Amino acid sequence: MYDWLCSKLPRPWVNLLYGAWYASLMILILLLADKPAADFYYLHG
Amino acid sequence: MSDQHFLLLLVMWSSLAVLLAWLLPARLQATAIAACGAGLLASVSVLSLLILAAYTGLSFLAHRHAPGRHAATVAGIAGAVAVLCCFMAAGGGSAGGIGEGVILPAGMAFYTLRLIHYLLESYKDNLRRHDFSEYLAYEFLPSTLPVGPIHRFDEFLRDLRRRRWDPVTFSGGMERILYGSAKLVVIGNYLVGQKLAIALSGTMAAPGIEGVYAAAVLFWIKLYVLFSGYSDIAIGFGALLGLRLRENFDWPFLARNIGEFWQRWHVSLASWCRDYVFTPTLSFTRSHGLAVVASMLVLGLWHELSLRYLLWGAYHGVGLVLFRMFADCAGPRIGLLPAAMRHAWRVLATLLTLHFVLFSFAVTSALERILLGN
Repeated sequence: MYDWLCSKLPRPWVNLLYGAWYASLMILILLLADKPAADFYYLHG
Repeated sequence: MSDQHFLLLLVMWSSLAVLLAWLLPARLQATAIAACGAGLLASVSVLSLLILAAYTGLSFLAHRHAPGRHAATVAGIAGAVAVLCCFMAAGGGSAGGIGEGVILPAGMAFYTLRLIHYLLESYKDNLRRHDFSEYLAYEFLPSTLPVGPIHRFDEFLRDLRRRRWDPVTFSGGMERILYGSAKLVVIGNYLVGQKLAIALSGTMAAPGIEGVYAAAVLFWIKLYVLFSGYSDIAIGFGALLGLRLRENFDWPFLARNIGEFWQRWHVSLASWCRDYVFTPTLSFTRSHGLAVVASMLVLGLWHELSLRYLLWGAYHGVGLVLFRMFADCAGPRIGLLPAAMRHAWRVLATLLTLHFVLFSFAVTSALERILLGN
């Protein structure tokens, strides 16, 4: 995906896009991490 | 212990393992990885650590002092299986119980499969020379302790000895951990566990096939997202350590038949069953059907020691046998169909396989109720 994007856009733009994508994922994880948890133990001990 | 708390512990101990494995001298790295796994286990349950450490010591002694001994291998495997079954039976059949009132030692279900693999490969003299710290690192690799993947010792040892710092692998591992965490927290927990569950709650309460269908869809989506999320985190931490762990999922719901489904769903468990149940049973009995059913029964009972999972294993085993019979009969004819018809058949086969899997628990629960007379 990264290489494909680099073939279409300048590399700094692709790096910026990736950075924004990772940052938004991290923010989402932090925002939602305190919600009631999925049952981990249902996967196995 | 809550899910978030456990995830936090997993990430903390796995991160510490990564740090130590790159900073310490080479001779201490395997021990440091194992110590972090032991730390993770101890912070969940000291009893778990003691049991798994005792087993690890005993199995290494069996490998070192009784290599190729039939009795030692059989005793080791029988002991591990008996202990696992006892804990599962004490916990009402379920293998999931590292929370309150510790029933099953943390990670024991997966640990037992790795132990059997190690003992059998040792018996077959397939293991390269290794020391105790390398074996400890294999059994106590922190990220794979709770839910796998069930990696193999020879692959682990090769990667452990050859690993070199590689920024591309490292950043790939970081990305995998981020995606795994997002799967768990954003998709599995929030979107599926809360939003979709609320959206489907009315349908699930409806009597008849509609409610069963909605509940099955929710269950399998949640299971897939959570399990593949944990696998992503484990594989990602493996990459940070310079290890290539086995993949566990490969778009399983796009499988075109039930055989392909089991090559895409929980791959490390399915391949373990193929190597240590299917192949030996096939070589003893020369019956493909019996070997398939035996493998699926073991796979089912490993999840839970109950009639429901026995039936679930049998359901998949019979499904695999029937599919093979169908493929032997109709496979060549399907190949002769026009391209458009073949394409339509593939779509239909994918949908049939998906629904065979979706309804597996509903069908086997209904069968269980009939058999138990409820």
